[in-house]
Amino acid sequence: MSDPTPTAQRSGVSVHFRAVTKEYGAQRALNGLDLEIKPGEFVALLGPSGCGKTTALRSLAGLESVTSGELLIDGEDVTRVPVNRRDLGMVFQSYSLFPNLNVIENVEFGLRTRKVPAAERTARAQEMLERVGLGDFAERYAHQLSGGQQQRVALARALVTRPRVLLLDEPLSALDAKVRTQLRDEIRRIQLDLGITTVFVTHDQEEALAVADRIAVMNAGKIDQIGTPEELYRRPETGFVANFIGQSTLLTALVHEGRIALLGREIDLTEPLPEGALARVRVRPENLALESFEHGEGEPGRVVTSSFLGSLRRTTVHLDSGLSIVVQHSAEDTPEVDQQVRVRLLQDVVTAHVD
Amino acid sequence: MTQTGSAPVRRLSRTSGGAGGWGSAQRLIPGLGLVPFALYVLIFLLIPTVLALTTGFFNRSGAFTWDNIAALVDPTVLKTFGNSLWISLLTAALGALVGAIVCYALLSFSPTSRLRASVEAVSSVLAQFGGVMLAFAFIATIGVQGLLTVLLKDVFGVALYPGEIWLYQMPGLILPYLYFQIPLMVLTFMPALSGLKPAWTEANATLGGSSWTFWRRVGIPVLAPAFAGGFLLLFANSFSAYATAAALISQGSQIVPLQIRTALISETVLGRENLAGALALGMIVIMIVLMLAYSALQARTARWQK
Ligand SMILES: Nc1ncnc2c1ncn2[C@@H]1O[C@H](COP(=O)(O)OP(=O)(O)OP(=O)(O)O)[C@@H](O)[C@H]1O
Ligand SMILES: [Mg+2]
Repeated sequence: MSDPTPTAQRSGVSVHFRAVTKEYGAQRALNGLDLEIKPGEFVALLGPSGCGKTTALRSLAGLESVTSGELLIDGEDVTRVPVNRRDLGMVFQSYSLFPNLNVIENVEFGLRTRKVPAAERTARAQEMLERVGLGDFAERYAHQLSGGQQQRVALARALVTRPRVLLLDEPLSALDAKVRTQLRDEIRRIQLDLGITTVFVTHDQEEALAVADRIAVMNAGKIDQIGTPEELYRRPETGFVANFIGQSTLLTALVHEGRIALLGREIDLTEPLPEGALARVRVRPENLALESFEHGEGEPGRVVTSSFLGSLRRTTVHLDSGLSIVVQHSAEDTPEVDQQVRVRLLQDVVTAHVD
Repeated sequence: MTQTGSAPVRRLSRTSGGAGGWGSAQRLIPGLGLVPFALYVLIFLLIPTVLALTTGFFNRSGAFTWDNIAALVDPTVLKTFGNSLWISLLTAALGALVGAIVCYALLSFSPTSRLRASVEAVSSVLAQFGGVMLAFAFIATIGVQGLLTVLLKDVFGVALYPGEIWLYQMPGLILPYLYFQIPLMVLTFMPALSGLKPAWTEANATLGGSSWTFWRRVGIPVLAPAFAGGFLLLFANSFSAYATAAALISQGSQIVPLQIRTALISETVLGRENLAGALALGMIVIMIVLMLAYSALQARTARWQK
């Protein structure tokens, strides 16, 4: 892994979005987007459909012109630099291999436009193909490859020119689950190997959590919160982020003497809230326990569904108070549908928000 | 998954249906729908082709002869073939080029836009607008007493016909032919052009390519077969066009289809039906040569086409 190959990278460069706004007529796709990406970092842009992830990525690539704001790569303002001079590698969501060129010709494409001599071109393309595990597929055409293989070639084609930044717009979304995780991990491995700054667009939180150094959660054209997967998971700063990362249920309770009553327990708050305010708390399945109806504590309810996840189970309970809540528990407990149970909160202290 | 899962079920219902022969008979039924078309092709394409091939080699009394074929190299006949060839090549080339440019211009509009929809609709009408109607339209507008001719002369002092009246001669065929050639090209080429994926141009740009790089290395190679196919169709279309020329050209038989008519019905040169056969044979040979050239091109692109 440490032997210097011809493709050994310069270390990555930084990327800045500064108050970037993009309007399509009356529609604001990006609304003052600010984002700082460190050299060599793998950042995932995560958010629901239509929040502006693709627009952000395409603006950085130069495929869309921004309405206002600045884009900096390695400290250089590239806002007005045309696409073909930004020196970025991009992999698209739809298959984009040139159909009239075979695999190696596709990979060599960017080297040709850079006038790299033929012998070096072929050597570098072949080396990159081997890196993505397609060393033996050089002579094939796109229609002779599976979707996953096509995306691997697209990745090799984007990386072979040693671009400053790698941009990935949901490159895995057309693939089936197994190939997805496999290729996702492979992208991460190659990225670490090359040390290239990478922006990865996805709407799949599991994908983002698995590969990114940091995740930027986007909402309505700007970043709601950026942080490591752990930070986002443990300390979501907004309800939107809490809702988007991991599964959780929203509970509400009135603040009384600095505490709130949740699932039949009095709980302390990490930060004080005014007396009588309606506090909103997100509880994750792993912070809850399923208890027996007769002998346990907590709020009563009935089991709606229960799914087996290997070592654990997730059970949805319809509480008598009318709310549905998801509880994670050991796979050894096998609740039956319609069985009466109780749900208990495992935390003693929670972070609540007031709207 | 669903496919492999449902196959045995289907097979089961087949066999439970009874006799084994029924299965293959059932498969033939949809084919019956093709019978009228097959008959049509047989009667009006295959039989005439065989007749053209044979009559070209026989005289009226049915004896084998090279005379008709020899007549093909007669200077007047050669000149006619030359005329037919250049008018067809020229209008096919111009039509293909202009048609492709129109398609390219239309590409910047969404497929559902009103402009694109109406250009496509108008094209499908105009592509069929050959013949006497078309000739009349041109005579009425730019004929000797045509509306536009008179207007140009009276208002701007421009004479459309300072010398010969070219509209009623060979060059006069060019404009009317283009009138149906261009729309025909738009119809045949548009689907291929809209098949170019935006992701290809974008990949080219992010890889440092200019728009010229894209066309040279991807766009043109990908479109070449469709363009050549369109060109061939246009060539065949004007090569065999008859009515427009018949209505427009007043004297002589300058193109092969007109010559065939003369050979068939002429009263001054009696008994030359078999020359008509030889002429048709000549046309078929030219079309075959073009088709071979086209399939050679197809073969070159076959390796990357599905
Ligand atoms: N070419 C365009 N013209 C008009 N509006 C557009 C255009 N492209 C995007 N938009 C709008 O901008 C907003 C952001 O779109 P974008 O494609 O960036 O979303 P996204 O986060 O990538 O969503 P998805 O997960 O569905 O891909 C959307 O509301 C979309 O409708
Ligand atoms: Mg998108």
